[in-house]
Amino acid sequence: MSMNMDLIKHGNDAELKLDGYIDATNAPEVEKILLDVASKFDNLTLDMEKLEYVSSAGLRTFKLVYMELHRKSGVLFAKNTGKSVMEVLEVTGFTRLFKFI
Amino acid sequence: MENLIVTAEVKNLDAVTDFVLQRPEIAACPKNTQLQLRLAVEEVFVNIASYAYDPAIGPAEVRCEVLDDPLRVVIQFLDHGKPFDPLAREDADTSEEALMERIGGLGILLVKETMDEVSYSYEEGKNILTILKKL
Repeated sequence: MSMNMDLIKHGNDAELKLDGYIDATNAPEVEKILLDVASKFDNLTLDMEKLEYVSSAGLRTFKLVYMELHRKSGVLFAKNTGKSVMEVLEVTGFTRLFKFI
Repeated sequence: MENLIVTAEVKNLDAVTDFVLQRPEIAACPKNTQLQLRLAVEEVFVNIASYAYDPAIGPAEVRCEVLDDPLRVVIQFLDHGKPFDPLAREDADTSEEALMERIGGLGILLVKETMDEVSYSYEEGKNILTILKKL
């Protein structure tokens, strides 16, 4: 499944616009990119406006990104989270990983 | 009932989700319903692909039927791998303490939460997981 990402830098913080789907077929690739960004910045904002879908494979990715940021006291922010993605985060308790802005 | 047989590998996920979502009655549903069906299909199929025959590879059959009164879709997943009832486990712990340690069970939790009925049986050497969602 497809996934596009745009990276915006604000000094030591980064914002990534996620677009499309995160599922079992592309989660490893998405994970690599997100972890690379998380390793280079203090805080990371995920703009989920155009993220339509995330499965448990994507939740694992979010968890690893959270851990990478948390390790250095960084924060994982989320904004514009849509209904379908929010439902998945809520059912699984994964809303706790994010600060919603 | 229409069916699709593929080898149970993650690379066949798109073929399986397309098989279900391209049904006209489902394509006509609200987007959120389609995404919930996509999610349930992915979680069940990926579980089969990951565990049923591990470390070997085997087939998975997906059957899909839309029924009337009330309008609903019934999807069955069949494999002849190790007998495994994913519904027999306790629901995944979603507490804060468990969040960082948990290694599984989230997929089936999502299936239970988004579908109206989920059932498992083991018949003639096959795991059969059936999900039902009202449309």
